[in-house]
Parts: sequence; structure tokens; C-alpha cells
Amino acid sequence: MRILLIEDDLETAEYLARGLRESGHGVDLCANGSEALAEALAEAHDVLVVDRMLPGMDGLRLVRSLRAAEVRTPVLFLTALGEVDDRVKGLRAGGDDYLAKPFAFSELLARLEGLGRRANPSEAESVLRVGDLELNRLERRAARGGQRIPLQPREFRLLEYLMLNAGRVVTRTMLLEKVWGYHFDPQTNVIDVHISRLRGKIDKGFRSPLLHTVRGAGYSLRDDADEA
Amino acid sequence: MRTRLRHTTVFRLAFTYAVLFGVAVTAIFVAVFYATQAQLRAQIDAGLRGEADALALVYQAHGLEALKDAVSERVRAARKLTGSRGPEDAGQRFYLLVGPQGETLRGNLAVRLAGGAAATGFADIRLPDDVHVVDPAGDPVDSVRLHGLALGQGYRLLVAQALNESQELERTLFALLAAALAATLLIASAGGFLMGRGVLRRIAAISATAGEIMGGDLSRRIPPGRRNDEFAELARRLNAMLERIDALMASMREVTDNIAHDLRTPLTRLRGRLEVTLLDARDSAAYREAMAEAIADADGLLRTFSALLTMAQLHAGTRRLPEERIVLPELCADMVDLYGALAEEKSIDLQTAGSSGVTVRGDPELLAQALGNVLDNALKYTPAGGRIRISTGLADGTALVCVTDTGPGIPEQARKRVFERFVRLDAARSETGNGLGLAMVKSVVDAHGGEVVLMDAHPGLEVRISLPSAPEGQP
Repeated sequence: MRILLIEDDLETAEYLARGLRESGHGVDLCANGSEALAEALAEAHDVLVVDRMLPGMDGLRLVRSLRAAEVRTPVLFLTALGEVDDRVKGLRAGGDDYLAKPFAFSELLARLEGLGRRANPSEAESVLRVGDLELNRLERRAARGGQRIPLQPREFRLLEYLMLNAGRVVTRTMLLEKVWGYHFDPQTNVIDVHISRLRGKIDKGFRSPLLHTVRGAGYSLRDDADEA
Repeated sequence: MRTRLRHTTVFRLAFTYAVLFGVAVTAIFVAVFYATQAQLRAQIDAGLRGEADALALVYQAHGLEALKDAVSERVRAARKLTGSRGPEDAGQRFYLLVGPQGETLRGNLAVRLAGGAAATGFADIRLPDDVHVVDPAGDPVDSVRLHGLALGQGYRLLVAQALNESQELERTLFALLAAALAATLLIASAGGFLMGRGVLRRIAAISATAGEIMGGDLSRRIPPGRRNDEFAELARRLNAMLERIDALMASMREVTDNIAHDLRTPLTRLRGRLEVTLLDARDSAAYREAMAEAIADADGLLRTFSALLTMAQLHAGTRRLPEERIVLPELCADMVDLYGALAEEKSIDLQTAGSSGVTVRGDPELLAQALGNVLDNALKYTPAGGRIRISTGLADGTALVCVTDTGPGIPEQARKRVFERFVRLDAARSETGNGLGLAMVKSVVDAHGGEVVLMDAHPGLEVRISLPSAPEGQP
């Protein structure tokens, strides 16, 4: 992916850019709001990372201007404010996702990859496949190796989200947000319990596990045999 | 004090009032003065006219000679009037009967003094300095009031009266006015000064307290004073403001202290772990392991930090809460859905009950977090095979959420303490968590104008959260 990173704190920008580049993405850096606007209008990017507080032009205004200019590149807001109200404001201004500082790099990476994949047609596909795991979204049925897996509604949505993001890392916060519709920090990692239950259903008894834990980041549903 | 006073609002007010009072008093006295003077003149004029008319009657009835006798008689009588004036004979009178050629026929008034002797009607005549006339009381006469009357055939009668008495009254009135004016100015200034000093003293007290607070003594408060007036009200309000600031400061201090306290340990651990890893050359797997642990430590730190920040914002009221309508049973169902897996894993029976119409206003994320924390706590302490009930309901316009478990409960004396930050009753810290769970619950519920209490569920613990209800249909 080609990412335009608009962040005025040089150190943050540098480590984020390094991390993103090492994760295989192209990164353009911009430290000023108005320059960023010109850059975003001139060049095609897969995703924009916009700090809310920027010299030159405030992040919200920047994104509003972009949206007004019909630039539909997905935008992830970064903020130090971290208030729910701001989150809503950011999303209303045309942002697609929102991350409050301090955040984990893995969280940013996972969310960016999720955003970049937005245009992926798999969103509309009625049958999702990862390895021999199959999820029929119309009939709401899951099966692995032809063997039917009974899923509760919430488990179905969890698996659906993981499959839509197959091969990517999804964080616990992303799961809580996308599957349960809440955005807070649960004391215990309740998500882990759900994942382990799901794992018990889709991986137990099969030779190669599909649902992997990515340490320090979250989970990833992928077929290792596929890559090998 | 004097020089300071001159520059104060109070002084300006007192001065302005003194001037205004002075002007008012002067105006009143001027009015009184002229009214009195006019009244006096009217009396004199009436007397003069009566006298002249009486003499004119004598002339008309008995002729010129009789008039001459009458005038002579009056002049004599007037001269004899020393000290024995009758009520009608108010003051010395002068008479002059003038013939057709302007010659003096009778009288005690010189023609030249009568001004234009041809004048008729009333006039004030000022006596020349070389004429010395004294009134019956022996005081010199400066001016007279003159009344001229044409008798016909060129004869004219002039009657005059000394204005001494009138002038005396005028002088008295004038003196009175001056005295009253002086007294008014004195009283207004003195009163203004005294009142001003009182006001100034109270402002000075407020100012001094403000100075002391700026100097660092934040516990200082403004003395409210004995009277229950505007200053007392101002003092009360300022004190209330100071209390609020003090509370916020204390809260901030507390948060800072807690952050310092609770972040120091994991930060030290994080640093130490990284340092020790660097001591010896290791293989990349060992480095990975150490880095992963460091990241986990940092994540824990960040979570604690975020939670503290959220609580501090809630407590300080700097975080504006959204006013979304939240259906509590739905929120509970969501939380049961989220935490249900955890309960099943521990073989705990987790169930909800309640009416559907229980709604509140607020921040769904924060309330979800609060309820999640309560559930999390209940799940931690309820033994396997236990039971957790979440019930929602309405009572007197208050929405209630009760979470009852069959765990060991919390002893009564500890129930308040568990809402404090970083307080854990299990000293061994066997369970995971950052020790902020219930503190967060209290912060969230407080910020929503609600209340959270812990009760004995015989056995177990009941966490009762009450929130202001926002019934359906109300905007």
C-alpha cells in the first residue's frame, strides 16, 4: 500500500514510517496541513494517516477539504485528545477510522491494512474461503473440509470479520469495535475467550490451525499451508 | 488611606453624592428663599396699597386739606412708633404728598429719594449713602418699597416702607442655607467616607485573601463577614469557586500521585527487562521473547494511563459526555454477549432480567465499560458453578442496574474503599487487572449523575448502579 502519513511530530512520524516501510508499505511523509492537502490532491494513495492537530491546517479541515474535492482515499485519524466526542467528530468529517494516542503500532498497522482493503470485492462475496474453511454468508453456515461447524450468531460474525480480513492482523480492539460495536477497554481480554472458543470449533481436530495469535498485536486468520 | 481613598470607586461615589446632595439642598433653599421673599413683598405691597387707598379715600371724601392733615398725622404717628409696632404696622412707613408742580406738600420722604416722583405703582428704592434713616428698632434703613398713587388734578401720594425686616429675613434664610449646605456636604462626605471605608475594607479582605492564595496558600478562604449582604454572597461564591478549584487540584494531584505510583513499578520492570536482555549476547529468539514481554508491559502501562486519564477527565468534568439514548436492558444484553463466554468457561450461570423500557442518557461506551468492569469483577470473584444476575428496573424516576453474584462479597467496612484507585482487597494480587475497575465504574456513574453502591446479597455481592432515567418520548 502507498500511505500518506501526515504527522507533525518528527519522531513519531519517523518511527511510524520505518515500521510501515518494514511492513512492506510505501510511505510519504508530510508535517504540514496545507502541504498535505496539496500532496493528497496531487498523488494517489491507498490510505491517509492524519494527525488531528497539525500546523497550517487542522486535520478535520484537511479531510473535509479532501472529501469536498471528491478524494475518497480512506483516512485514519490520529489524535492525542482521545475523547469519544472527538472520535465522532473525526468520523463525521469524513474519516474512516480513528486511533487515539498512545496506541500500539500493531494496532495502527492492522487498522491501516483493514482500511486499504476496503475496496476489496470480498466484502460483497457471499462465500468466503480460507484454506478449507468456508463461510456461506447468505445461508449463514460455516464448514471446514466439508464438515459443518455449528456457530452461534456472534461467533458467526466474529469468524466473518476474521475471514474478511484473512491474512491480516486484527487487534482485540478492532474485534470489539467491529463485531460487538463497542469501543472501550475491557479489563480482562474477553475477546481472547471468544477467540479460543471459536478456535475450538474451527481448528480443533484439524491438522493445520487457521486462527493464529499474533503476539503483542492480536489475531490473524490465515492458511499457512497456502503460503508454503 | 486618604490618597488611596481618592482613587477608589467608593470615594468617587461619596463625592458625587455629596455634590448632588449639595445641589439639591441649594435648589430647595433657593425655592424657599424666593417664595418667602415673594410672600413678604406681597404682604408689604398689600399694606402699602391699603394705606394709600385709605389716604385716597380721605382726599376724595374731605379734600386736600384733610389729606394733608391725615398725612401729617401718619408721619407723626410713624415717628412715635419706636418699639411699639402694632401687628398691621409692620415696619417704618414714609409718606409724601406731592403737588401738581412736583412740590412737597406734606411728608417725611424727600422727593429726590422717591425717584421719579411721577411714578405710580410699586418700586424698590435704594437709599443713597448720605441719607441716614433708622427704623423703629434703630437699625439703619438701606432701601424702601415705594407705592405711588395718582390722586387726580396732579396730586400724587407716595407711601413707602423700609425693607429692613424683609432683608433681615433674607439674610437669615441665606445664612441658614449656607449652614445647611455645609452640614449636608459634611454629612455626605463623612458618611460616604465611612461607608466607603467599610466597603473598601471588605474588598481589601477579598484582595488580601486572593493575594495569599496566589502566594501559594490554597486553603485560604474569604471571611464572609457578619452581615448577610452582597459582599457575603460574593465571598460565598468566590469561596465555592475556590473549593471547586481546590477539589480539582486535589483530584489532579491524586491522579498525578497515582500515576507516578502505579506507573513507576511497571516502568522500572520494563526498563530492567530491556537492560538485562542487553547484558549478554543472546539469540534472536531470546531477543524476540524479551521484546514481546516489553511490549506487553508497555501495553499494560498505556492501558493504565488511558484509564487514569479518562477518570481524571470525568472527575474534573472536562470531558463532555454525549447525550445518547441508551436502553439499559440492551446494553446489558450486549455485555452478557461479550462476557458470556467468560462465564461459560468458568461454569458460571450468567443471566439478565428486567423490563424493556429502562432508558438513560449518556455515553454508551463509558456505560458499557462500567458495566463490563462490574461484570468482570463479578466473574473474577464468583467461584465456578456460581451465579451472576443482571437485573434492570425503574424506581422513582431512577434507572437501576443490579449485578448480583454468589462470590465471597466485600466486607462492609471495605465497601467504600474498593472504589478508590488502585485499591485491591486481595493482597496477593492473584487476579489480573490494573486495580482501576471499580474506580472507573464510580467515575463513569458519577459523571452520569448516578450513584453506585455495594450491598450484601447474602451471600455474595450486589452492585447497584442507579442512573437518572430518561423515559421514552421525552426529548
